[in-house]
Amino acid sequence: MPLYSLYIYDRTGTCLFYEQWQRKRQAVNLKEEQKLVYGLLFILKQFSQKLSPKQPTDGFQRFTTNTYKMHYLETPSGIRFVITTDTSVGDLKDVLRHIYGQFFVELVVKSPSYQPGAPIQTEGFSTALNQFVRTLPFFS
Amino acid sequence: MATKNYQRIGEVTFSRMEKVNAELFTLTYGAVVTQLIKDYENIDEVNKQLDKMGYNIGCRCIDEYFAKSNAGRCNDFKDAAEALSKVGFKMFLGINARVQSFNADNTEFSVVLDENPLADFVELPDHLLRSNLSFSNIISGVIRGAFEMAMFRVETRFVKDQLRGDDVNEIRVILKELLEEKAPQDDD
Repeated sequence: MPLYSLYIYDRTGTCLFYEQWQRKRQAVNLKEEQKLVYGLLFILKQFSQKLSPKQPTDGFQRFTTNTYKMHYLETPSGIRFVITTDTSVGDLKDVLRHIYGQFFVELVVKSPSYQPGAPIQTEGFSTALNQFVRTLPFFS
Repeated sequence: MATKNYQRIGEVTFSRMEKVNAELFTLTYGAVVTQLIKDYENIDEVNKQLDKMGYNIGCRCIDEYFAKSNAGRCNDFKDAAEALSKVGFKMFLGINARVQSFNADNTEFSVVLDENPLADFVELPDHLLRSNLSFSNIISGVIRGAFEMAMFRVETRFVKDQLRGDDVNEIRVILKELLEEKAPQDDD
């Protein structure tokens, strides 16, 4: 049950962070791919809001294709967390929330070297995230 | 939709927050203001700097607010005012704030603080009392920053300050614009 990759975006669509683990097919152009993913998220959110029988909605949470699953968390402050995994992985809402609360807030937002809107440079974040990811039951 | 119990959320979140010594916090803040006054020699500029520092803090602490309180998105400006006073002030400063004096269109309100931990032990000397120093201006900056991240562009200012002999501290928050998400830019 592999875990493929993680993207973090801010509200303007800047990709703050990207990391990949068991990704089998590499992106041809990573920058381009990050932009495409953001565009997709943006449209999918608007689309799901338009279709929603109730307003307001929190948008979508995941979608599945026959080869992968994309899990999505958008915070009310506009930070977006995206994880792609194999289709057999279940709900990752708590994992995404954990990454937000325990790592993003504690190690990025509180770090003086982090400039909002700029890619994450703080080393502690990447290390802690990698450690955490390796403890996940589906990481194999 | 049922309104959320912000009072309770505030208390639970406060109990989970890391605490610092209140005296240390107050004295540090006092030292910052004193240094700013020395450096800028111009009170308007000091107010501006405090506001700017607050704004930068607000832009960051909004994420801590959402991550730790689990309070979720605010439905409207009124809801945001409640969340600010009952959860925001409680979790970051440990105090209770009240919201009052909404205008007719619900675009302006006042946050009233009966106590202000930033101003404990503080007495303004005469020459500063005569100036228009807003000692705790950092708070209004924080509110401005945090609200902007939650898609409300607001203006904030102190209208009452206990350091100037008012009975309470009051910050007026005025909604200027509801921000909207912008579509990603096409770059080619």
